Amino acid sequence: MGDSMDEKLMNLPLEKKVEKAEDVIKEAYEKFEPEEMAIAFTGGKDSTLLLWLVKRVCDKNNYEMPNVMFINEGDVFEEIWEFVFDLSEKWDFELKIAENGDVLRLVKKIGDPVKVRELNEFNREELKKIGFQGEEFPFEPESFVGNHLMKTAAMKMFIIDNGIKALFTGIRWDEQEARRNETYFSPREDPEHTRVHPILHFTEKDVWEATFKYKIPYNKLYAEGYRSLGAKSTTKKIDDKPAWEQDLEKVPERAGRRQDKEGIMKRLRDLGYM
Amino acid sequence: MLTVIGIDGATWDVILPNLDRLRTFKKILENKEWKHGTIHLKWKPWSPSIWCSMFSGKSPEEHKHKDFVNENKELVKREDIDVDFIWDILFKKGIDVRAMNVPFIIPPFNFRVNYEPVAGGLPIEEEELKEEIISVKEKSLEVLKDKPEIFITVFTALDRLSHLHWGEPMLVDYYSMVDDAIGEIIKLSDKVIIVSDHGFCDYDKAPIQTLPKRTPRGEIKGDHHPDAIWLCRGIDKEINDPRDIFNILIEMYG
Repeated sequence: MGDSMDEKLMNLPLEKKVEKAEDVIKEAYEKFEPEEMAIAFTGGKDSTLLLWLVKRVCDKNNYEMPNVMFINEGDVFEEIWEFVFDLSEKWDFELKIAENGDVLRLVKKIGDPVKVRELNEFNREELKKIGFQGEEFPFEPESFVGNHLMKTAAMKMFIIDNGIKALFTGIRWDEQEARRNETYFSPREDPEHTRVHPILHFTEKDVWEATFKYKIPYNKLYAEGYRSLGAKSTTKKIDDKPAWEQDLEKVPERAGRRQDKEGIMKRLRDLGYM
Repeated sequence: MLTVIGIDGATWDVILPNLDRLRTFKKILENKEWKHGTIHLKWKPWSPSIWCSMFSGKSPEEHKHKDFVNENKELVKREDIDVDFIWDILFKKGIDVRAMNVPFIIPPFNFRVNYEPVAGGLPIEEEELKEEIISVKEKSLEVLKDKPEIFITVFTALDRLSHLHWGEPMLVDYYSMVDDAIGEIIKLSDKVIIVSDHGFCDYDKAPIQTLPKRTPRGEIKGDHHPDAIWLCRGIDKEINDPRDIFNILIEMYG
């Protein structure tokens, strides 16, 4: 398959896009054992579609479901917890929580200070890797340091502890410019594993079409106007209209989220700063 | 309680001819409790660098911070700048200091304020620019209710607008929105400093061009002029250099 965004695949009708995604999932099952694979499930619309597709392939082919991993970054909307637990019952899968307990034990609320010397060696090493040299930082899951420890490091621990060799994620080419060069199977280091991206060729509009066409459950926050779900304290509604009725073409999907480095870089380029 | 209100790119060249629409500035300039003047920058008027000097007390040669992105085209982070800012120093001394939306980096920096900068700190579309002015105002009013000893807040929208719309009447509409916002904020603080990091002028007349003439967002009409504005109430000092803000705060609270 192509090395980056493929216009032909982007222009396929929805049914063909679903078939293509199922082919990618089947290929993953040819390469890896079910217990070596995990789905990164966030409770958002993309990873819910991804989970539905994997489940569909498993049901059709009598495959075992892979692990379903949910990252608790410490600032999760109640509505997301409710949604992911309800879905795990409805679709009968075990939800495995990945979290950085070493940081979580030190804080009670957003903004609480975390002292680096009180963290374990793994986390101190992670901070060194991103060049953080301070003695403490405020607990904010979507800040640069917070995002690394609460998401990246938590996921890393999960991959290591569970012997995961392949991780399905619901990223899409049209989400951000920085994702246009992603491939369906993408090798990663630290820890070594393969990222599998079955819905790369779906647009945001396709995801909503598929959600309604196949009656896939979705989080009620989308109906309230949230278009992209991140940490609770830093994700804002950008409109009161349901997500699927918003201006999907002009307003960036992740406009309501803080941790959008790619979007910032594009704005800097647009303004001529780079 | 001292509040520092930064207005990225604000210039007397827009304020003075439009005082009939800028009621807060008009009242301030007519009020003897207030002093005002112009900072003639001795350095190149790069915003990230000037804001950094203003709140670190260091010259650009000393702090070495120039731009939002480094040579590897990566965003510069707070940790990359080797200085103690005024908030770092005074907070350690037990002063209740808070800061929000300070644009020496992108996204702009917050200190003890949970504020999400609009559009990652780079509002471009009109809706985003309006949203920035409103959200900075509202968050500032919320923070001031806690009565911090020092509060620093910055509006960035006028800089972006001045690059793209210099010389157009719409620019005054946005100055007017910022003017209204400032009018509300200064009611909640006895000591106030209002300051810009640089001024603006026609792109072709600017002593340096901070942006290329043509960008993906259209032609750049205005660029940075080294004359910045300052106004203050309750402070017995003149401001001649961005570092004077740091020095005043250290003298009063350090």
